Amino acid sequence: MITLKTIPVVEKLKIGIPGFDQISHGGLPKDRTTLVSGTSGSAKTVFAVQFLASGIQQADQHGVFVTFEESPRDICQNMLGFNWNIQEWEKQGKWAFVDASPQVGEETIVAGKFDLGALLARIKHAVQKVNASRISLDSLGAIFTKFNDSNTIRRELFRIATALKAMGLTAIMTAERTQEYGEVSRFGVEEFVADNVIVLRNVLDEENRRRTMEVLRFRGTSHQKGEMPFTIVPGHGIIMIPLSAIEIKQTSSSTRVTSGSPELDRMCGGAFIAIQFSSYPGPPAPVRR
Amino acid sequence: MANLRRLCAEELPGQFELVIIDVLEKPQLAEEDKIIATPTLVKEQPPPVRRIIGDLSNSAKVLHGLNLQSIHKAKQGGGSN
Repeated sequence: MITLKTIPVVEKLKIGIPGFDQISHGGLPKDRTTLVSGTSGSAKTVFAVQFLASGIQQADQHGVFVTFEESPRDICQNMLGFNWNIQEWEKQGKWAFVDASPQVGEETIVAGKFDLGALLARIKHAVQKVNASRISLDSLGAIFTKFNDSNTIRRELFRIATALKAMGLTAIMTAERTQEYGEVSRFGVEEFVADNVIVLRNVLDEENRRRTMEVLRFRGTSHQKGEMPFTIVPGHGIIMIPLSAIEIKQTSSSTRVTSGSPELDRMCGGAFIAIQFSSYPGPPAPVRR
Repeated sequence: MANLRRLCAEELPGQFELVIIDVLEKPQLAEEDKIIATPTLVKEQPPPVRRIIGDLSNSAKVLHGLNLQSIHKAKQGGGSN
Protein backbone atom coordinates (compact mmCIF):
# COMPACT_ATOMS: atom_id res chain seq x y z
CA MET A 1 0.00 0.00 0.00
CA ILE A 2 1.24 3.46 -0.86
CA THR A 3 1.12 6.03 1.91
CA LEU A 4 1.24 9.64 0.93
CA LYS A 5 2.96 12.09 3.24
CA THR A 6 1.30 15.43 3.51
CA ILE A 7 3.66 18.04 2.12
CA PRO A 8 2.70 21.51 3.31
CA VAL A 9 1.82 23.98 0.56
CA VAL A 10 4.08 26.97 0.00
CA GLU A 11 3.07 29.59 2.54
CA LYS A 12 3.05 33.25 1.56
CA LEU A 13 4.09 36.30 3.52
CA LYS A 14 2.00 39.43 2.91
CA ILE A 15 4.67 42.04 2.33
CA GLY A 16 2.51 45.16 2.52
CA ILE A 17 3.43 46.84 -0.77
CA PRO A 18 0.06 48.17 -2.01
CA GLY A 19 -1.27 45.93 -4.79
CA PHE A 20 1.64 43.49 -4.66
CA ASP A 21 -0.07 41.05 -2.36
CA GLN A 22 -2.94 40.77 -4.90
CA ILE A 23 -0.81 40.14 -7.99
CA SER A 24 1.32 37.63 -6.10
CA HIS A 25 -1.78 35.84 -4.74
CA GLY A 26 -0.94 36.58 -1.11
CA GLY A 27 2.66 37.86 -0.99
CA LEU A 28 6.16 36.44 -1.28
CA PRO A 29 6.83 32.72 -0.72
CA LYS A 30 7.61 32.51 3.00
CA ASP A 31 11.07 31.35 4.21
CA ARG A 32 12.37 31.46 0.63
CA THR A 33 14.56 33.72 -1.43
CA THR A 34 13.08 35.74 -4.28
CA LEU A 35 15.30 37.28 -6.94
CA VAL A 36 14.27 40.81 -7.94
CA SER A 37 15.94 41.61 -11.25
CA GLY A 38 15.89 44.87 -13.16
CA THR A 39 17.87 47.36 -15.21
CA SER A 40 19.58 50.38 -13.68
CA GLY A 41 16.92 52.75 -12.31
CA SER A 42 14.16 50.14 -12.20
CA ALA A 43 13.56 50.67 -8.44
CA LYS A 44 15.26 47.51 -7.17
CA THR A 45 16.67 49.24 -4.08
CA VAL A 46 13.33 50.93 -3.33
CA PHE A 47 11.62 47.52 -3.51
CA ALA A 48 14.28 45.93 -1.27
CA VAL A 49 13.98 48.72 1.32
CA GLN A 50 10.17 48.86 1.15
CA PHE A 51 9.99 45.10 1.78
CA LEU A 52 11.69 45.69 5.15
CA ALA A 53 9.98 49.04 5.86
CA SER A 54 6.47 47.58 5.36
CA GLY A 55 7.39 44.70 7.65
CA ILE A 56 8.37 47.12 10.43
CA GLN A 57 5.48 49.56 9.89
CA GLN A 58 2.65 47.13 9.27
CA ALA A 59 3.52 43.80 10.85
CA ASP A 60 6.20 44.54 13.49
CA GLN A 61 8.55 42.19 11.63
CA HIS A 62 12.17 43.26 11.87
CA GLY A 63 14.65 43.29 9.01
CA VAL A 64 18.29 43.08 7.99
CA PHE A 65 19.61 44.98 4.96
CA VAL A 66 22.81 43.70 3.35
CA THR A 67 24.20 46.36 1.03
CA PHE A 68 26.84 45.55 -1.58
CA GLU A 69 26.64 48.80 -3.46
CA GLU A 70 25.39 51.94 -1.72
CA SER A 71 26.65 52.91 1.73
CA PRO A 72 24.16 52.59 4.63
CA ARG A 73 24.40 56.35 5.09
CA ASP A 74 23.31 57.02 1.49
CA ILE A 75 20.44 54.54 1.75
CA CYS A 76 19.16 56.17 4.97
CA GLN A 77 19.29 59.58 3.31
CA ASN A 78 17.72 58.52 0.00
CA MET A 79 14.79 56.77 1.68
CA LEU A 80 13.76 59.65 3.97
CA GLY A 81 11.58 60.99 1.14
CA PHE A 82 9.38 57.92 1.47
CA ASN A 83 8.89 58.55 5.21
CA TRP A 84 11.11 55.60 6.08
CA ASN A 85 13.29 56.71 9.00
CA ILE A 86 15.80 53.88 8.94
CA GLN A 87 18.15 55.47 11.48
CA GLU A 88 15.29 55.59 13.99
CA TRP A 89 14.50 51.91 13.34
CA GLU A 90 18.17 51.05 13.86
CA LYS A 91 18.07 52.77 17.27
CA GLN A 92 14.89 50.86 18.16
CA GLY A 93 16.53 47.55 17.24
CA LYS A 94 14.14 46.88 14.34
CA TRP A 95 16.59 47.28 11.47
CA ALA A 96 20.24 46.27 11.06
CA PHE A 97 22.64 46.96 8.21
CA VAL A 98 25.35 44.58 7.07
CA ASP A 99 27.69 46.88 5.21
CA ALA A 100 29.42 45.06 2.37
CA SER A 101 29.69 48.17 0.20
CA PRO A 102 33.05 49.22 -1.27
CA GLN A 103 35.18 51.10 1.27
CA VAL A 104 37.03 54.27 0.34
CA GLY A 105 40.73 53.62 -0.26
CA GLU A 106 40.27 49.90 0.15
CA GLU A 107 42.74 47.80 -1.75
CA THR A 108 42.00 44.09 -2.01
CA ILE A 109 44.24 41.40 -3.43
CA VAL A 110 42.96 37.87 -4.06
CA ALA A 111 45.69 35.29 -3.35
CA GLY A 112 44.10 31.85 -3.36
CA LYS A 113 40.79 30.19 -2.58
CA PHE A 114 38.27 31.98 -0.39
CA ASP A 115 34.64 31.79 0.74
CA LEU A 116 32.11 34.31 2.06
CA GLY A 117 32.05 32.78 5.54
CA ALA A 118 32.71 36.17 7.16
CA LEU A 119 29.74 37.73 5.39
CA LEU A 120 27.48 34.85 6.43
CA ALA A 121 28.69 35.16 10.05
CA ARG A 122 27.87 38.88 9.98
CA ILE A 123 24.42 38.21 8.50
CA LYS A 124 23.64 35.64 11.22
CA HIS A 125 24.87 38.03 13.89
CA ALA A 126 22.67 40.86 12.56
CA VAL A 127 19.61 38.58 12.26
CA GLN A 128 19.99 37.50 15.89
CA LYS A 129 20.62 41.05 17.07
CA VAL A 130 17.30 42.44 15.76
CA ASN A 131 15.36 39.14 15.71
CA ALA A 132 14.74 39.58 11.98
CA SER A 133 12.25 37.68 9.87
CA ARG A 134 12.89 39.60 6.62
CA ILE A 135 16.17 40.23 4.83
CA SER A 136 17.17 42.12 1.66
CA LEU A 137 20.48 41.74 -0.19
CA ASP A 138 21.10 44.62 -2.63
CA SER A 139 22.60 44.33 -5.22
CA LEU A 140 24.46 41.15 -6.13
CA GLY A 141 26.26 42.52 -9.22
CA ALA A 142 28.62 44.58 -7.07
CA ILE A 143 30.02 41.54 -5.26
CA PHE A 144 30.65 39.74 -8.56
CA THR A 145 32.74 42.62 -9.86
CA LYS A 146 34.53 43.05 -6.51
CA PHE A 147 36.05 39.56 -6.45
CA ASN A 148 36.08 38.76 -10.14
CA ASP A 149 35.51 35.05 -9.48
CA SER A 150 31.94 34.30 -10.60
CA ASN A 151 32.01 30.58 -9.80
CA THR A 152 33.05 31.08 -6.18
CA ILE A 153 30.54 33.92 -5.68
CA ARG A 154 27.68 31.91 -7.22
CA ARG A 155 28.47 28.93 -5.00
CA GLU A 156 28.74 31.13 -1.91
CA LEU A 157 25.50 33.00 -2.60
CA PHE A 158 23.75 29.66 -2.96
CA ARG A 159 25.19 28.70 0.44
CA ILE A 160 23.92 32.00 1.91
CA ALA A 161 20.43 31.46 0.39
CA THR A 162 20.33 27.97 1.93
CA ALA A 163 21.38 29.36 5.33
CA LEU A 164 18.70 32.08 5.15
CA LYS A 165 16.06 29.42 4.53
CA ALA A 166 17.30 27.38 7.49
CA MET A 167 17.00 30.49 9.68
CA GLY A 168 13.36 30.92 8.58
CA LEU A 169 13.95 34.21 6.77
CA THR A 170 11.95 35.49 3.84
CA ALA A 171 14.56 37.04 1.56
CA ILE A 172 14.93 39.33 -1.43
CA MET A 173 18.11 39.43 -3.49
CA THR A 174 18.33 42.09 -6.19
CA ALA A 175 20.33 41.70 -9.40
CA GLU A 176 21.05 43.81 -12.46
CA ARG A 177 20.03 43.04 -15.98
CA THR A 178 21.35 44.84 -19.01
CA GLN A 179 18.20 44.86 -21.17
CA GLU A 180 14.48 45.21 -20.46
CA TYR A 181 13.76 42.09 -22.49
CA GLY A 182 16.37 39.35 -22.59
CA GLU A 183 18.33 37.29 -20.09
CA VAL A 184 16.96 37.37 -16.53
CA SER A 185 20.10 38.76 -14.89
CA ARG A 186 23.83 39.31 -15.28
CA PHE A 187 26.20 36.65 -13.92
CA GLY A 188 23.45 33.99 -14.13
CA VAL A 189 22.25 34.85 -10.63
CA GLU A 190 18.86 33.24 -11.27
CA GLU A 191 20.54 29.84 -11.53
CA PHE A 192 21.08 29.57 -7.79
CA VAL A 193 18.02 31.47 -6.56
CA ALA A 194 15.81 29.92 -9.20
CA ASP A 195 12.70 29.32 -7.10
CA ASN A 196 11.17 32.76 -7.36
CA VAL A 197 11.89 35.55 -9.81
CA ILE A 198 10.35 39.03 -10.12
CA VAL A 199 11.35 41.35 -12.97
CA LEU A 200 11.10 45.14 -12.64
CA ARG A 201 10.99 47.12 -15.88
CA ASN A 202 11.39 50.78 -16.67
CA VAL A 203 10.56 50.92 -20.37
CA LEU A 204 10.87 54.06 -22.48
CA ASP A 205 7.60 54.12 -24.41
CA GLU A 206 6.93 57.07 -26.74
CA GLU A 207 9.08 59.40 -24.61
CA ASN A 208 7.40 58.26 -21.40
CA ARG A 209 8.79 55.93 -18.77
CA ARG A 210 6.48 53.06 -17.98
CA ARG A 211 7.29 51.05 -14.87
CA THR A 212 6.05 47.49 -14.61
CA MET A 213 6.54 44.49 -12.37
CA GLU A 214 6.25 40.91 -13.53
CA VAL A 215 6.22 37.84 -11.34
CA LEU A 216 8.16 35.54 -13.67
CA ARG A 217 7.93 32.47 -11.49
CA PHE A 218 7.00 31.35 -7.98
CA ARG A 219 7.90 27.70 -7.69
CA GLY A 220 5.12 25.59 -6.21
CA THR A 221 2.58 28.39 -5.89
CA SER A 222 0.43 30.62 -8.07
CA HIS A 223 0.63 34.30 -9.08
CA GLN A 224 -0.85 36.61 -11.70
CA LYS A 225 0.87 36.44 -15.07
CA GLY A 226 2.19 39.33 -17.12
CA GLU A 227 3.46 42.84 -16.52
CA MET A 228 1.61 44.99 -13.98
CA PRO A 229 2.11 48.76 -13.96
CA PHE A 230 3.39 50.47 -10.82
CA THR A 231 4.34 53.92 -9.75
CA ILE A 232 6.64 55.42 -7.10
CA VAL A 233 4.90 57.95 -4.90
CA PRO A 234 6.83 60.33 -2.58
CA GLY A 235 5.96 59.52 1.02
CA HIS A 236 4.74 56.02 0.15
CA GLY A 237 7.10 54.18 -2.19
CA ILE A 238 5.97 51.61 -4.72
CA ILE A 239 2.24 51.42 -5.40
CA MET A 240 1.07 48.71 -7.78
CA ILE A 241 -1.95 48.92 -9.99
CA PRO A 242 -3.26 45.35 -10.25
CA LEU A 243 -5.38 45.78 -13.37
CA SER A 244 -7.25 42.51 -13.23
CA ALA A 245 -7.52 42.32 -9.49
CA ILE A 246 -9.48 45.49 -8.76
CA GLU A 247 -12.17 44.49 -6.33
CA ILE A 248 -15.77 45.29 -7.28
CA LYS A 249 -17.33 46.56 -4.12
CA GLN A 250 -20.78 47.84 -5.24
CA THR A 251 -23.72 45.42 -4.95
CA SER A 252 -26.00 44.71 -7.88
CA SER A 253 -29.56 45.94 -7.94
CA SER A 254 -32.59 43.74 -7.56
CA THR A 255 -35.09 46.42 -8.63
CA ARG A 256 -36.90 45.51 -11.84
CA VAL A 257 -38.00 48.02 -14.45
CA THR A 258 -40.43 47.08 -17.17
CA SER A 259 -39.17 47.10 -20.72
CA GLY A 260 -42.54 48.14 -21.99
CA SER A 261 -43.10 44.80 -23.70
CA PRO A 262 -44.89 42.22 -21.52
CA GLU A 263 -43.44 39.41 -23.67
CA LEU A 264 -39.81 40.66 -23.22
CA ASP A 265 -40.38 41.18 -19.48
CA ARG A 266 -41.53 37.56 -19.25
CA MET A 267 -38.42 36.34 -21.11
CA CYS A 268 -36.17 38.30 -18.69
CA GLY A 269 -37.69 36.55 -15.73
CA GLY A 270 -39.86 39.48 -14.68
CA ALA A 271 -38.46 42.72 -16.13
CA PHE A 272 -35.13 44.51 -16.66
CA ILE A 273 -32.87 44.92 -13.61
CA ALA A 274 -32.36 48.59 -12.74
CA ILE A 275 -28.88 50.26 -13.09
CA GLN A 276 -27.66 47.70 -15.60
CA PHE A 277 -26.84 47.81 -19.25
CA SER A 278 -28.82 45.41 -21.37
CA SER A 279 -27.99 44.80 -24.99
CA TYR A 280 -30.19 43.20 -27.59
CA PRO A 281 -28.11 41.54 -30.22
CA GLY A 282 -30.07 40.97 -33.40
CA PRO A 283 -29.94 41.44 -37.15
CA PRO A 284 -29.35 45.06 -38.25
CA ALA A 285 -32.25 46.96 -39.71
CA PRO A 286 -32.44 46.54 -43.50
CA VAL A 287 -30.68 49.34 -45.35
CA ARG A 288 -32.75 50.92 -48.09
CA ARG A 289 -30.97 52.30 -51.11
CA MET B 1 47.42 29.70 8.01
CA ALA B 2 50.46 27.49 7.47
CA ASN B 3 51.24 29.42 4.29
CA LEU B 4 51.21 32.71 6.16
CA ARG B 5 53.31 31.51 9.10
CA ARG B 6 55.90 30.10 6.73
CA LEU B 7 56.02 33.29 4.66
CA CYS B 8 56.34 35.51 7.71
CA ALA B 9 59.01 33.29 9.28
CA GLU B 10 61.01 33.30 6.07
CA GLU B 11 60.64 36.95 5.13
CA LEU B 12 60.24 38.69 8.46
CA PRO B 13 61.91 36.56 11.13
CA GLY B 14 60.95 37.99 14.53
CA GLN B 15 59.64 41.23 13.01
CA PHE B 16 55.93 40.59 12.81
CA GLU B 17 52.89 40.56 15.05
CA LEU B 18 50.03 38.33 13.93
CA VAL B 19 46.53 38.52 15.43
CA ILE B 20 44.09 35.77 14.48
CA ILE B 21 40.34 36.41 14.74
CA ASP B 22 37.70 33.72 14.29
CA VAL B 23 34.75 35.47 12.62
CA LEU B 24 32.33 32.78 13.75
CA GLU B 25 33.20 33.58 17.36
CA LYS B 26 33.45 37.34 16.96
CA PRO B 27 31.21 38.43 14.07
CA GLN B 28 30.99 41.95 15.54
CA LEU B 29 34.72 42.44 14.82
CA ALA B 30 34.15 41.34 11.22
CA GLU B 31 31.29 43.85 11.08
CA GLU B 32 33.49 46.70 12.36
CA ASP B 33 36.24 45.91 9.88
CA LYS B 34 33.73 45.19 7.04
CA ILE B 35 35.23 41.76 6.34
CA ILE B 36 33.33 39.77 3.72
CA ALA B 37 35.58 36.93 2.61
CA THR B 38 37.36 34.30 4.65
CA PRO B 39 40.23 34.03 5.11
CA THR B 40 41.20 37.73 4.94
CA LEU B 41 44.65 38.95 5.90
CA VAL B 42 44.68 42.64 6.87
CA LYS B 43 48.06 44.33 6.80
CA GLU B 44 47.66 47.22 9.24
CA GLN B 45 51.28 48.29 9.63
CA PRO B 46 53.21 49.67 7.86
CA PRO B 47 50.68 51.71 5.81
CA PRO B 48 48.94 51.52 3.39
CA VAL B 49 46.34 49.18 4.93
CA ARG B 50 45.85 46.32 2.53
CA ARG B 51 43.57 43.27 2.42
CA ILE B 52 44.70 39.97 1.03
CA ILE B 53 41.93 37.46 0.47
CA GLY B 54 42.19 33.71 0.07
CA ASP B 55 44.18 30.78 1.42
CA LEU B 56 47.43 32.57 0.50
CA SER B 57 48.48 29.69 -1.73
CA ASN B 58 49.68 32.22 -4.29
CA SER B 59 52.89 33.31 -2.49
CA ALA B 60 53.93 35.86 -5.09
CA LYS B 61 50.65 37.76 -4.67
CA VAL B 62 50.88 37.61 -0.88
CA LEU B 63 54.41 39.01 -0.88
CA HIS B 64 53.35 41.72 -3.29
CA GLY B 65 50.40 42.56 -1.03
CA LEU B 66 52.70 42.76 2.00
CA ASN B 67 55.18 44.95 0.08
CA LEU B 68 57.80 42.27 0.68
CA GLN B 69 58.70 41.45 -2.86
CA SER B 70 61.32 44.17 -3.12
CA ILE B 71 63.09 43.11 0.09
CA HIS B 72 63.06 39.52 -1.04
CA LYS B 73 64.51 40.43 -4.40
CA ALA B 74 67.10 42.71 -2.84
CA LYS B 75 68.39 39.86 -0.70
CA GLN B 76 68.64 37.60 -3.66
CA GLY B 77 69.89 39.63 -6.53
CA GLY B 78 71.63 42.88 -5.53
CA GLY B 79 68.71 45.31 -5.63
CA SER B 80 68.40 46.04 -9.32
CA ASN B 81 65.01 46.92 -10.80
